[in-house]
Amino acid sequence: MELNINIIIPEIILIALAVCLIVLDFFITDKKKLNTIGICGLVIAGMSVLLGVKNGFALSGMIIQDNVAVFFKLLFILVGIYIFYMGRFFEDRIKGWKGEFYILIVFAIIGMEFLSSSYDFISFYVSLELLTITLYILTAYTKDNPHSVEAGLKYLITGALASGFLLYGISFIYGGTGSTGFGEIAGILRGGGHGLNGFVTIGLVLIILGLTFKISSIPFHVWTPDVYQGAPTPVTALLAAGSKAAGFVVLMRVLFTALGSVKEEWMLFIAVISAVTLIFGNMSAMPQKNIKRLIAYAGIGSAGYLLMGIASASVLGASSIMFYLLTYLFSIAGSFLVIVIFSHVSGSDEIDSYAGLSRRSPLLAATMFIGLLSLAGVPPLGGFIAKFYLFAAVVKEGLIWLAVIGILMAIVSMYYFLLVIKRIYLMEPVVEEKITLEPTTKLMLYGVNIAIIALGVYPGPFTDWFVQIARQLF
Amino acid sequence: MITVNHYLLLSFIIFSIGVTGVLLRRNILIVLMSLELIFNSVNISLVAFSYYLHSMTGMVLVVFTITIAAAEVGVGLAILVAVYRLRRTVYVDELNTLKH
Amino acid sequence: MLLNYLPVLIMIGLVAVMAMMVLFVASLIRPSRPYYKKNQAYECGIDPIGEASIGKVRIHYFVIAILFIIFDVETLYLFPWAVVLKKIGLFGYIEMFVFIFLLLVGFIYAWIKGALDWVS
Repeated sequence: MELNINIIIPEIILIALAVCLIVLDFFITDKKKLNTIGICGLVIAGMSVLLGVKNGFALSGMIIQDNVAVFFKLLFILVGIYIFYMGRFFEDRIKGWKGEFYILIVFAIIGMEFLSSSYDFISFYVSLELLTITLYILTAYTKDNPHSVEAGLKYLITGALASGFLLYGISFIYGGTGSTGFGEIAGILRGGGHGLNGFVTIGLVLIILGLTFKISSIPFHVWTPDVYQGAPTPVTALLAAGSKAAGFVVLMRVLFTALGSVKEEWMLFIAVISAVTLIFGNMSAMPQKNIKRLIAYAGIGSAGYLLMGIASASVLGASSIMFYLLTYLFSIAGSFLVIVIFSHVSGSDEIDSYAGLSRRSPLLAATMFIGLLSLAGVPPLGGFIAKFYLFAAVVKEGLIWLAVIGILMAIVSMYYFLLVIKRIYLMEPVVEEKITLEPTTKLMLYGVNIAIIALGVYPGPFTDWFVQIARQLF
Repeated sequence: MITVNHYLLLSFIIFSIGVTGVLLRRNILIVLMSLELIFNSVNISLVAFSYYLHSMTGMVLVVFTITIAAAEVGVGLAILVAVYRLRRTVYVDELNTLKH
Repeated sequence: MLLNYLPVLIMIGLVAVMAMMVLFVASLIRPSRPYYKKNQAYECGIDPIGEASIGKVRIHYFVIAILFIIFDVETLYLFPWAVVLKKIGLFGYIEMFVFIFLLLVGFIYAWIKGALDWVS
């Protein structure tokens, strides 16, 4: 039994941060200070991921630390910093505000960190539920707002049903192979000791269905629009950028690492889910009037694109998923920072109220412009390169029909994002009043924009690095 | 002689009852009970596999599942109380203030 | 086959007989002075208002029930831990205290936030 506690030091720092915040919540009345402490703690945890941690296994093989885990841990901490910052603009929207909001966000990040490095179905399930249950509470956090609690209840019912499917699938995989460790399952399936039997196939299908909830793709996508609209805006950003990335990292670990040797069984299944998700998400996004709902449907579409990478089952596919998630994080962080600031000023999330934003604040308008165009995949932004690599990965595996659907849907997504951009730049504003921004906010917005453009103009080093670390998954 | 298949059949029947309950029932309390049925059917199947494979891993997973199901239902009840305070209803189809 | 279950049947019979005997002996010995307050339904020391079967239950019972579910289930981990305590040694012993400490933080938090106060 090897414990190797030193591998999970970043997570221990985060747990200590959560306990600290719980205690400090009683003594600090100015919750803005709590926010600052939280951001500092996240930065420290991020440093410890970067500097101190060696690769290897911890907690008797339950936890793996490899470069994939390092990348995703840094990604989640970056998400966390942006979410905390958004919380500053949301504080006064909640009656009887308590510091619990920040504590719960830290717990959600701990769940995602453990999820990205879980190497056994037990640790995988426990960390998945730590993330999911925290998100249920966060979604229903504004409990005097009927939209929020209703969204929370819908999220909980769909989530618990999906988690039941997932668990049932895990039990079948366990029954078919006699093990729950990803490495051991891969060894048993490759060695052909038991070979592929009926149990493994049933388990495979059930696990994929259960995980489609986390990544918000067909068939467990129904919660997405309602929850994105009803949840507090920082939580929506966490769902969009964090929870989806966490879903994809475990999907990659389960399908590529544990079940990689039976990939003929699931490649076509994933490809079909991906195609249906792409068409459904992008088509339903067109008539939307609420910006959060629009991004929800576009997010379903993005899950379809990311599933193309899973369907290709190759190193190129896995590395392009990581690249897509990185650009997606910056687009979501940028546009949601704009949404949260704008609703802080105007109190509205309707797309129509964004009319003439470019005259009220050029920086906010530009961030929205770059973020949405990157989501749509316009060159030379990061989103274009990400989609290009995904298409290349699918075509290389002979799934040309999937790439054609992807390209058609990219054109559709261009249409509905341009409708929003048209309102921001070409329409007359209802209120002329300028929106003033703090220097730190400006810094955050510039950071996001520069990152998106840099990933688009100079993707070389990143893609090389991602291809290198993606090899560890296979 | 009772084999692993009998337990799996039992677990499958309970799982189906649970899923049907979640999909068809309007009362959220009954939906939460059906979710409990789903989790417990999985527990039956895990314990059956664990017994017939002579491995303890399944039992360990069951312990975690029980805890997580309890947490899930705890949060579910708390959100349900919040919904009831605002809307005075526990029926799924009356919760439709979000736009379609 | 079925004969193996005979001890169980004997056990059930014994328990039933014991229970009835205890109740019978108690009814002979105890004083019997019923009055209004004593015959009332007992509800945690609070006077009952109306019939419980109508479905009006104080929402606060829900809060206590939810807290009970969580802390009740957490004790599940103590049993397997206690069984293998000698094998896992000092490290496992300390680890359980870390677990209980984290639970305690949650409990104190709920307490200070007023989840256990009875608002009347």
